[in-house]
Amino acid sequence: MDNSPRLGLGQKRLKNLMIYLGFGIIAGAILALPSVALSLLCRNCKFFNLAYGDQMGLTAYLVLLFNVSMGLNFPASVVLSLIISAILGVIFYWVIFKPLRRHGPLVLLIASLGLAFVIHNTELAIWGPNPQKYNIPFETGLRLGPFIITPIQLAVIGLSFALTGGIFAMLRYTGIGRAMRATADNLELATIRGVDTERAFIWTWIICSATAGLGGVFLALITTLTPWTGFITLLFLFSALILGGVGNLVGALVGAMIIGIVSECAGILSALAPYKIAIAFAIMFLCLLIRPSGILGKERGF
Amino acid sequence: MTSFIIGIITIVAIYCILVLALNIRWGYCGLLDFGVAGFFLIGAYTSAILISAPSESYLFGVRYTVGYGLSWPIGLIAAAVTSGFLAFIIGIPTLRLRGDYLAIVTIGVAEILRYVAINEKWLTRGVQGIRNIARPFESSFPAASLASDIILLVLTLSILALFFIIASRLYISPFGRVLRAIREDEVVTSFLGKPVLSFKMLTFILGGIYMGVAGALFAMYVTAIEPYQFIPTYTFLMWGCLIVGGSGNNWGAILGGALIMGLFVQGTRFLPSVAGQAQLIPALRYIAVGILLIVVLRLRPRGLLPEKAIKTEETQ
Amino acid sequence: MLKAEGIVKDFGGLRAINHCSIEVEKGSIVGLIGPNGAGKTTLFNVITGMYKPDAGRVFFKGEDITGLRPDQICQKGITRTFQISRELKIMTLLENIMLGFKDQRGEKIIRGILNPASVKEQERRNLERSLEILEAMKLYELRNEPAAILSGGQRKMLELGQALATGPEMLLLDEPTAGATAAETAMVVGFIRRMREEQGLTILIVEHKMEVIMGICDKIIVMSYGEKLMEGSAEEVRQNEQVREAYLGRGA
Repeated sequence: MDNSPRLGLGQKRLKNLMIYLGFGIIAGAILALPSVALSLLCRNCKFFNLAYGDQMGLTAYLVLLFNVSMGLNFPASVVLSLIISAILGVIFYWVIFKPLRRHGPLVLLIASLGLAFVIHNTELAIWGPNPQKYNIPFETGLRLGPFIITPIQLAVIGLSFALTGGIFAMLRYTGIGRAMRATADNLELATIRGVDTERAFIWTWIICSATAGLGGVFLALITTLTPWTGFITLLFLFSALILGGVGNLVGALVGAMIIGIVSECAGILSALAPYKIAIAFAIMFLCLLIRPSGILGKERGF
Repeated sequence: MTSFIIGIITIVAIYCILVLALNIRWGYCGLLDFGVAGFFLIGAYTSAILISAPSESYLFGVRYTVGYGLSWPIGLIAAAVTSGFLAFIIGIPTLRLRGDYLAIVTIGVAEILRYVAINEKWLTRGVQGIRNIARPFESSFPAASLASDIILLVLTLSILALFFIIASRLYISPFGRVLRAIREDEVVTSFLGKPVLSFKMLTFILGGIYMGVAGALFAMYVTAIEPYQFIPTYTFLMWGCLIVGGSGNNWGAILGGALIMGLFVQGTRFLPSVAGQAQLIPALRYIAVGILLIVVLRLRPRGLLPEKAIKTEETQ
Repeated sequence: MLKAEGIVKDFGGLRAINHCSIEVEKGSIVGLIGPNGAGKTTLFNVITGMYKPDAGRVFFKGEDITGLRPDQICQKGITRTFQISRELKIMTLLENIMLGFKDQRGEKIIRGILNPASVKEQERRNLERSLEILEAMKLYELRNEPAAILSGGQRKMLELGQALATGPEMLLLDEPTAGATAAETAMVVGFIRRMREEQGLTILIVEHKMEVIMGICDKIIVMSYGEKLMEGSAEEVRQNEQVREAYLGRGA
């Protein structure tokens, strides 16, 4: 808060803007990792997974289970939950998405909606609608210029960007990354050339589900955790994806930052404050009107 | 007891209109609409704002009046118009693109409409919602009476029947033929000289009109609406009904609506709720529907009543 | 009748068509041949509106139709078929054909719902014509079956029938005998001749089967690497050195 009486109105406004910008960067950072991972999942599996947001939420709730209900320490809870999340992802793939693949992307979309619904209501049934908090030591914020930021928030931002970079590195430099790219570009050709496409799919689900989980935990740390958190985040994620260009991972990153910053900064106008989602969506809607392929996208989507 | 049963049939019929509308969009034309709740909401609120008695609402200390006290046919027509118009607006950029995009946009639009309903108190009275929505002929038959329930039931069933007939005739008409062609292969249909975008848009708007009218009926049924009644859960339930009942088949839509909405949602009211966990039973019902949807997709994707093949000579 | 001038089409870094110009006279049957990847189907796609050319124009009966949508081009009188036949599998054969007719009053939503006598009358006439077409193609018995059950050659026939239903002035046929048996091929060739003789249709046909092309075409255009290599009568093409090289180098 500004407690210096000698600042003029213009400077106060600027400081205000900086604070909102800061929120925006944090929001962008939180969205970045899941956006890139979702983009990867959609590109490899060729459909929009509407259960992704709830996969994020579910893992966050699992951490709650271990950390708060069972008293496990926080890091261990997170690790355990990520592993379960990854396993669940593979199960979803085997039981739901792989057998339905032959019906095409629209049916897969419907199925993912069903899954999202099941997860959402499971959370609602077990934990109820109220916001939840983790059992972690309270921290005081550090001052960084006009911002007050806690070490955890810093860690989240740093980790988000680092892991996003990790995904890019994996895709470019590892064998499984190459397999994923080949499978995504042309499934038939990849199969003919002997790429283990099944392995590529399974690892896609493992990595993207675990990343979703981590993203969910970050989200729960910085904002609140309710059964709706996952679904609402999903809307932001898809706005980021479409803005950046579906199928383009760098685009997803760029999209996430833009959506994060713009929707937070819209909060400056108090009339718009509750409409952050609407802003993100308006951006996406405009994008579809003007340039459906997004900022960085190719013409035909996946 | 009679009143209770009449009430259940009425609300199930209203949901059946929604499922029918969804069938027109998805079953006929392959348009993926995940924003049913949004069209429902806009129909309900338009009607409620127009026909409820004036009531006050406060926003930032300024007093607003919501409600114009108009008659119920105006409510129905206005609901149809606004909902159809919403479909038009959404359709312009998204119907040109792949189906998945329509899905995402409709989800978002539905949620944003709900946020608008929550926040724009001057228009919708926010979370308090709009109360005392007048039923048809309320001066002669007060809302709490059996007669009022019966009137609403008759109105709802009449509209359902009318919409059903329209939908069925559309299915076997050349218009319906083009829709089914679009659903299967848009490109070929285009090369046969059909302006695909127009057909999609008309279908989308028609679905919107149905959903808006259903919303208006809903507002009169519950006589008090508020934003929480239009959460995405209801969109999802409609999809469950359609997939289970059989997409592409209007009787399937009715069957699915009656089955799932009738049994699952209303019927399980009779089960005792587990003490202290008010959320548990409703959530379990929805979980069951979700799992049922996935199971049906995997094992019997065409649903209980699959689409009927058309023997063109017989329809002449 | 059809004139394509200076068409250029690029995909990403690849030039699929490189300043190609062709002309098809009214009432003629013209063959379009060339090794795989020569750009024949791409040219079809540009002419019929699936792609906008990066340069060049397309004229039909003197009118500039460049950049129109596929459905608009069909309304102008050009109908095409596809290399891998894309009939609508779930719909019955009869429905597939009935779909093709132009200016169906019942396709307007209000009239479709009300189904007045004018719509019924038109449907009846279209139905009769559809049955005629199906009978000519020896598909009459299967008319109420879903198109999914057809064999490769039968699918091509159905597609041809569907194209005929649109009442075109010009047909662009993309490998109409692919996957057809010898008998079916002969039937298709017979049809193509009849369509020109009885209905005065102009036909541009992409084919790989030399005997088909040589047999019915008035003129043959040869494409290679996105360019027009040469054009001429069947004899001229057969003798041409460059054409032989193009094919030998890549195989038909």
